Amino acid sequence: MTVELTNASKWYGNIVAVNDVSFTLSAGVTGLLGPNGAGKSTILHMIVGLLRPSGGTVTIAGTPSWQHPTIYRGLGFVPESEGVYAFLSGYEFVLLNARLQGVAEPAAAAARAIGLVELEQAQHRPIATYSKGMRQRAKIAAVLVHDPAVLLLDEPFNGMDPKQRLQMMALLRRFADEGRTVLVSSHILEEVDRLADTVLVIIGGRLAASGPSRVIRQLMTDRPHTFTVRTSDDRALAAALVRQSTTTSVEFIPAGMSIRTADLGRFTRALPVLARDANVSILEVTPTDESLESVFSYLVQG
Amino acid sequence: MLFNPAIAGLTVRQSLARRRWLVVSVLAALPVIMAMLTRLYASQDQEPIGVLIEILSALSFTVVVPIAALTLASSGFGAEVDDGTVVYLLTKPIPRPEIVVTKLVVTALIAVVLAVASTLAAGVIALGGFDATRLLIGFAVGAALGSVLYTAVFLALGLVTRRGMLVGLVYLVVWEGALSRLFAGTRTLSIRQYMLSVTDAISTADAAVFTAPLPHKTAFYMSSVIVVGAVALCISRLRNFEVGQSG
Repeated sequence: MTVELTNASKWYGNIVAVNDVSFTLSAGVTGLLGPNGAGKSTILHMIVGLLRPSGGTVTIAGTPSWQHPTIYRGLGFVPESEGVYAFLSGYEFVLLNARLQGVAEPAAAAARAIGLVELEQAQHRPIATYSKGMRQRAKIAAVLVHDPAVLLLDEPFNGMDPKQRLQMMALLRRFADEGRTVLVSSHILEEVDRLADTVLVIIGGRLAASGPSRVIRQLMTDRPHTFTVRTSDDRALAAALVRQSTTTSVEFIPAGMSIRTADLGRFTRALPVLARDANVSILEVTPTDESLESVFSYLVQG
Repeated sequence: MLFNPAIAGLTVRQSLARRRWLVVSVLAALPVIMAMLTRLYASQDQEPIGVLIEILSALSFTVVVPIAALTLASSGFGAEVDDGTVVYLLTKPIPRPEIVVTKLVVTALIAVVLAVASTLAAGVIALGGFDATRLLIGFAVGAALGSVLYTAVFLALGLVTRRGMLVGLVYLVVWEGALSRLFAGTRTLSIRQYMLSVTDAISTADAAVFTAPLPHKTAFYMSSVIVVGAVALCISRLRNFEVGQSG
């Protein structure tokens, strides 16, 4: 089942949330990567028919998703919102979704979905008592009941611990390998990089880059990096650093030195060696521009 | 099919969750307690039927029926939009009219059962049985009608404004309370007046004992318009529902 956006836009008065985005999703995991507020949720909501596109079209298997509830037969959407029926138990919540979907054997479908997300232990407790990660799994189980061909998840790893994250990634990979179309939004590069076959980078409501995750990762790592370094003798280390071809600039700032390098790998290997040779103790190394926003602004300018 | 059993089950649990069952039970008990007290302490020269009319029109129709409906309906669409759970209903292959009709029928049914039980119990206690003029039956039917109308209006309000509960209360206090007593014209748009009118239509009591100012026909037509209008409004709102602006 293909999800297709053609020049899709969404604006609220004068504010443009999504601007002229086109892409096609097919089987496999696609990562929707972007900083908070970039328009990822807006795009997801347009795909699932919870927002009317202001311009362009959004279709699922050829049917416009806006005002066509029939699309939900083959579609599962996990919202980012924490809102769940807190008075229901996990099992009741998943069962409710199975019944609302109209699946043939709701109880069996609910039990199977709960097994898939490994929530059996807590399934009969009220959701109100769940941790964030458990809630997230209950929400995911709720959209697995009808075995959807298209699965959309808005920031699904929020609140999960590393082990749960890995389990969930393995589960989503499995769905993709079964031929389903999976779209996962995230603001964390590593999550998307590990999970997705294809990455769509959204910045400021626009599709800034798209391609295989390997290519996107290279775009993001082969770029200048800036570090703040504090040592026992900044000037001695600076003298050694400027002789390195990978160092593009050194600036003394109140917090120590701001060092810019063109090659992240060589710089991080050279730094401790240089410090040892110069008899300087390194007190602190902080990457100053690792935030996704700076990565993205680099991408957009590049 | 316009009725969805899964939504019906959910609606029952939603409307009684968060101690709403306690609020509506206390409300329903008020007229009954009042009737008991008047039986015990009312002076001998007071006619039981006069006491009953006082309790039912001033307490049941003015406070119990509307506030119980408001309490139950406050768990409806408005609350679901607020906490985001409405997404679970909307992302299902269910026709929107089916969602609206099921929710309205179930919520209204709970309100009707409560209101009718409360009215009949209070009446039987105050009168020591049913009256020959069918006034008590009339009040029970009026309470049932009011429960349906208030539930429909308050459910729709929740989809029109985020302050559905507040707007509902203002309508009750200002419009039905103050204005419809001062200006006869506002009676045409007062659910409380429709309830009284229906009571009057069923009862054979003498006009000196009980009479309603609004013509029965007006009450009937207006009630139909309100239910149909509220349902249509809810369906249209759900069809065009867009989630709040987000990242």
